[in-house]
Amino acid sequence: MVQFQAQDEFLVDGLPREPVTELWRELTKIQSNEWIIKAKQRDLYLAMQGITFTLSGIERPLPVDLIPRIIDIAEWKQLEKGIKQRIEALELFLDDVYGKQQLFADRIVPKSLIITSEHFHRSAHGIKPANGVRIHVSGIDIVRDQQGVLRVLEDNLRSPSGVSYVLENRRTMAHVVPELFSEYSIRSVDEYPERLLAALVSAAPDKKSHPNVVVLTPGVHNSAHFEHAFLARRMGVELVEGRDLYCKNNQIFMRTTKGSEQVDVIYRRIDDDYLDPIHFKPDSVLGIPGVINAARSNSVAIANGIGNGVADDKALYPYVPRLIEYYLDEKPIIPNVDTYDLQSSDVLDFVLKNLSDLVVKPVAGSGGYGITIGPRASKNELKEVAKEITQNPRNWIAQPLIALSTCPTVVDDGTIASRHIDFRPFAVNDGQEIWVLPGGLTRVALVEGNVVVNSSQGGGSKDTWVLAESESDLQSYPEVIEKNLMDPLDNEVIPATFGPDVLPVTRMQQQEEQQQQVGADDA
Amino acid sequence: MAWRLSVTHSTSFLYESEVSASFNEARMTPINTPDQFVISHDLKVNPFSTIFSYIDYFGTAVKSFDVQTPHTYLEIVSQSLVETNIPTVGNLSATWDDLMDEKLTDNLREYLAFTPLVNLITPPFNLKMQKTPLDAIQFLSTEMRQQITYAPGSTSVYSPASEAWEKRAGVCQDFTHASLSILRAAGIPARYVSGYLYNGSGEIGEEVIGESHSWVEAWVGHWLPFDPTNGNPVAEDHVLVARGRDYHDVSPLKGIFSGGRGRKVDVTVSLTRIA
Repeated sequence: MVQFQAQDEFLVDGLPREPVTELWRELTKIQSNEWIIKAKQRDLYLAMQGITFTLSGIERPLPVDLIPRIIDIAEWKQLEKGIKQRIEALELFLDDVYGKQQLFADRIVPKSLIITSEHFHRSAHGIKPANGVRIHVSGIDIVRDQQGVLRVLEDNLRSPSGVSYVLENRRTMAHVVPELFSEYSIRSVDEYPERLLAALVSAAPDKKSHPNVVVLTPGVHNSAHFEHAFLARRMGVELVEGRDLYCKNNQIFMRTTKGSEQVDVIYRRIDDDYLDPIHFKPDSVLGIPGVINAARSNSVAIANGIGNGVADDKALYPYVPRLIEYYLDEKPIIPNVDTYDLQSSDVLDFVLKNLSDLVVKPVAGSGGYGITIGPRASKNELKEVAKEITQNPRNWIAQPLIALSTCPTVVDDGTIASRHIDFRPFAVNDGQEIWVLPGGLTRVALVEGNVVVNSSQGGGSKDTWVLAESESDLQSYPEVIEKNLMDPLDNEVIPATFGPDVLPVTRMQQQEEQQQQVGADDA
Repeated sequence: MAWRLSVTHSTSFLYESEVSASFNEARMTPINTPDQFVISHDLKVNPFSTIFSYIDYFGTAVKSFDVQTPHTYLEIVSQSLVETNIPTVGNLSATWDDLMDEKLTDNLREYLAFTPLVNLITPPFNLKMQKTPLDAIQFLSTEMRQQITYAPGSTSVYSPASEAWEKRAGVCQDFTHASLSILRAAGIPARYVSGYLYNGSGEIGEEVIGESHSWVEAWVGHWLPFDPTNGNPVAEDHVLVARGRDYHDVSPLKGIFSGGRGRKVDVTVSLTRIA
């Protein structure tokens, strides 16, 4: 087994790092029985606010740890620059893949790697978004390794979720542990919905000044439905399901109690496969038939773009540093985690021989499902995964095990213990600027020693403090009053799921003609 | 000497009960190639609907349209006037080794991989026994008609190569899929071509009932077209519409609809040689 020592975000040899000093003093004043009471206050607050996350079918509050994580000014600046750089390169990559495909001619990435990605959609070929943006929202996962280097663990460019918890965590902290904020100038995370709305507005075709923006959700059964509703409410736009929208003459309309209204921008939180039954799953009732050709004719903008998954495919990940050099002629600011490309047979052999020291991940997986951590896996598990890798190496990547950094965390008995964490910053691209939310979702593995931190794997989160540098980005206390809260009775238009002109929602059937089914028999 | 062909491709769907909405994509527009020039093209849909055009990933001219008034029939008439020539083919001297080139196999990966329709079949011969890939194609072109009998109705639009192969019967779609499967298994990149075939006497002005047809293009240094269904050379009598990995990429009409039962489809293709 590989020996490693994780870095701690707060402490070096038991002493707090510089930016953490005051916080650490406050934290150590709190007794374990007080932590238990505060944890109860937190759970009550979250339950009252209805902040939940569905894990394996059970709704439960997303546990936010009461000790924040702090990112200092210098490190944040680097992160911000590195994220912008990465998104810029990946935007150019997507534009190339769904356009000229110059990168194949220049042999930057094997064509077969791209076209065998399950997220490469030929039907997205030729779609040119009006303002050029495909990655309106991204969540690039960052970890700190045992040398203290921040690295990109994976890119999330489809519908990265979790930003609602970033905003709610800050509120929760302000309610439950206001004393911790007293010595710090922390940058606000509350402007996220405004920034998102601005980016969606600027994505609208024809540069409309007041475009109609909607949030498209698969429905209340989706694990991130809370977030869909949260974002729609905070942006002051409609939350709709596929059946609320329809396509006619390549334009998208919303059914409302006052008739139909054209829709200009769809912030969709449903997967490509369900978006348009003409091009994808023909039996999907979650999407809108015709929406892809509407996007193609630029009468509606779809955020995030169709087919973005080809850029966050884990098999492409090892090539991203190359893409940054190719498209931007720059060196990557945030390095990748070393990754073995299993398409090469030498590397494959090496990986199969050293499985017990490595982490292997399915390229199509998300949420931490299907990951095998070599040093923790049984012989049988390793044998099983070796068999699967041999059968289809394209479906897997392997990485050395990284000791994710740790952070002091309040555990069940009210004591403070060290737990592994990672970080998901959110970036919003409006076509002029890539803006990185100063904060983000720090995920924490609540089980001791566990290094998989996804909320779908029972992880929790932490409020993430990015320290303010100047007066202009200083907002020391989070705002607690909800703004933009819509009174539904004031609302002029309400999506009408069962209005008079509503088509019955039925599964679509396919029709297709067979070639040469009539005609001469004497071929 | 170029031919000038007028092609009328009519498709009609009759439904026993009303269809409330229907969304469709037609791939019925011949494309311009070095050997083919489209003089005019027109697609009409009844009930009337607005038509939107785009070029898809494979270079096919697609017409999309929706009908959202209740209807019991749908009629699509595609009319084209096309000038066709005998295809000019380049150097066809690729060796078996040339086809193993990593750059080539990466670039043409889509035409080397199996698909749900072009699935693995096991022919009683080995193409790689032929001296060159070109020899292999000539061999296959004759052999296909020894193996499969042309029999309309024996397969459906969704039949994979293996089904026609087991039945040893099928239509041009099946001849094409089976040929693609055998070629790709031997490492010869091959693609599905969809179009029309004129099978009249060649007399100017005489309208003949033709067919929506398919054939194969294989890479042996350049793309070489051949017609496994009838063994005739691909010449002025073939009108090219679309290319793809299999039928699914090129199907002349693909769509979804809601409501409506008891669908009846009628397709006629007529061609007239004008000059």
